[in-house]
Amino acid sequence: MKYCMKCGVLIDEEKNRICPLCNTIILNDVEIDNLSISELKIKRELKKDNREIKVKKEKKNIVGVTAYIMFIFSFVAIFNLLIIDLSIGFNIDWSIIPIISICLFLLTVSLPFMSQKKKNYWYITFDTIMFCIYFLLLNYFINKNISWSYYVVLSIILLWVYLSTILLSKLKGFIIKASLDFIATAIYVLLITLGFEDNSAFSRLVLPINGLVFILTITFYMFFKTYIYNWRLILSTLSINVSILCLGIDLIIQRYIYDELSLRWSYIVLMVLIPFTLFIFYLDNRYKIHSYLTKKFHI
Amino acid sequence: MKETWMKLDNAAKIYPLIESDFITAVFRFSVTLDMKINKNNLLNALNTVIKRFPYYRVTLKTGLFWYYLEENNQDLEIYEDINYPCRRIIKAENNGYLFRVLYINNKISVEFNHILADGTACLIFLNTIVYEYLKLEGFNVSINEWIKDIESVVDKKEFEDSHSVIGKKHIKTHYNKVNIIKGVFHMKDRLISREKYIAISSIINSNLLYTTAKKYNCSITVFLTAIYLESLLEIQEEQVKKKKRKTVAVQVPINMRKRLDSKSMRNFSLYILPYIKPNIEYTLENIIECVNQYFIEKTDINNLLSLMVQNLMTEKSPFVRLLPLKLKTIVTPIIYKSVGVDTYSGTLSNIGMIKLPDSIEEHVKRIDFMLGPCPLTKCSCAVSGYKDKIYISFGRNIKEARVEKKFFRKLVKLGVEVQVENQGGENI
Repeated sequence: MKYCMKCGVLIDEEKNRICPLCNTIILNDVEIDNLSISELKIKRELKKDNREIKVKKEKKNIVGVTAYIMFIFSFVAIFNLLIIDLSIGFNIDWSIIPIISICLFLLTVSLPFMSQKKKNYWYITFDTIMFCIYFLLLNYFINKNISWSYYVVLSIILLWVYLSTILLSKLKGFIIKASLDFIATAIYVLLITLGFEDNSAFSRLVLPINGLVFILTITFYMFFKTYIYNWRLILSTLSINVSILCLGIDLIIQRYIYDELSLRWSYIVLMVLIPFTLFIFYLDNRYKIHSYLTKKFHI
Repeated sequence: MKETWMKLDNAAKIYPLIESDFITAVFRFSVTLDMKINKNNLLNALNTVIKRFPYYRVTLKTGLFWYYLEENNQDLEIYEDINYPCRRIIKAENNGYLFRVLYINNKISVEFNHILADGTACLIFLNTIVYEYLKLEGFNVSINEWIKDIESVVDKKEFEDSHSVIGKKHIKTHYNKVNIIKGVFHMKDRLISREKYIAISSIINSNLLYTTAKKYNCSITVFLTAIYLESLLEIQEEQVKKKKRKTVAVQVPINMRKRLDSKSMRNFSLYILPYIKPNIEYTLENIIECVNQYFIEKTDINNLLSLMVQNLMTEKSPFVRLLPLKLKTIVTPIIYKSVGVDTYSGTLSNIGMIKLPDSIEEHVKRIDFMLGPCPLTKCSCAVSGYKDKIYISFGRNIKEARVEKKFFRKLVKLGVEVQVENQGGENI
């Protein structure tokens, strides 16, 4: 019996040539007797003191200075725009559009440089509000009413909801987050299609596709979490889910446009994915399949 | 067998639904004798002994809502122990049986699918085989409570699903919700090939381990659980950033037979889950104190009965009962992951001290116990005590012996002499 030099456990050197715990070589008595100093490769490594003294460079407040420079340039630009606009027509007319654009730039780009450290989520929310206001004002100043900006604002809000579900640490659980995204998308499409003459697109097209994506995402996530150790099963689940999704989307679109249940393009995807899934399935169960075939066909 | 078929017991119902190449639901007991094993005598011993254990002479069948066990009259076989331990038991390769008997040199091993029985029942079966084998070898041997008398009549109570029988009696008094901690830490290492399972076992002087545990005023199980938890906690510190660290928990099975006076030879164990929170500076004394307190609290009979009733109620819920078997095989692994494996980071099963009659003890050198693989916890620990030794076996399906290394080094530091050996598999 010998002791492992690293672990301190006893090891039968005749049965184990290396320590089963740390793989350190275990020598038997004969090998120890034959050992000589010259055989031991002693490497004297000079330990260099890697702790180099780091000279701290003086940090200049470049960020704050940049913000102030941007502010000054922006105010100069706004002032010039106002002077030019006033000198041409004795009123503020076209200059309002570049001025609100400069204000948006100031609030979304310059302000973060000046303000204290805030979380990314705070900036995203702030920018979302600023962009919404900007597009609404832009639309109002150009068209004197709110028309196209309605769609832009809705899209920005949807994007904010998506980002919120990713970034908000208070929201826990993939299923809750996915459900929120699903509901937000449904509301978004409903509000968008309200503006259309034929608003059946929501109930017949968008809601079924959205629901299908939601169900398949949740299913895949659950399989992924359960079988995280089996990549073949995860791949085949993904492949099956993509097949179902393509099939579903194709059927829903055909039903909506031509009012018939037919396949136009999804069969091409299926032609690729079905053999792929079968191949992965075979890989995952090849021993069982071989055993079964050998038994059945006496191969 | 009185009936030609029987239901799976309450604990066994989940195993066929989750069983795979990764989760084999197989555990092993091995007995090392002082003689080379004679294959023919071993097979004869098995054929004789199986008549006394009709509840193991079964095969798994598929029903509409549940799996069930049906009498199996196929020939029994024994196998040379040359493969990795605790491999999946595939019906086609094993004449439909849910256990296999293996031999190599001086060692007889029995691998049981958990569908059939738990560790205690399996050990009694193996001991009875050894008893019969020694008789066939011409030795005069006797029996004790760890061995069944093969001449005796099979007691009806041995077929009993004690979980259901005892659980039903306590539904009204013990139907409380048992809280469990979910989302615990699992080691991040990548799995090796699914066919491989590396086993390391150790031999420790039982008196020395007992004295060391007594220094901390705890039992051997509590002491080993605390060391296991501390090892896992250190692994988490190496692998996970401080903010993302999770609770570390170990699953410890509790044999219910003695507590509730059951003769069942099927599954009759419950599990407790001692745990420690992350990001707290613990000493071993602190951990032992936590684990000891947890053991005292959770092994109280009322707590265990509540757990048993909860398991029974889950099985009896209309949704579970009416869900077709095909759907159960899809849904159960997902649920098992979230309320099963996600509640523990490793398993430590201590079968306790095994006492054989003197006439057998003189031929039996050691008794080893090993748990099967789990792809999420990646490492498990089984403990058995025989004569003046404690045998601790670790099984893992990852390359590096992370837990084992920390666990045994800690024991050595505490003054316990540990002899380590490769038990099966390979040293990669």
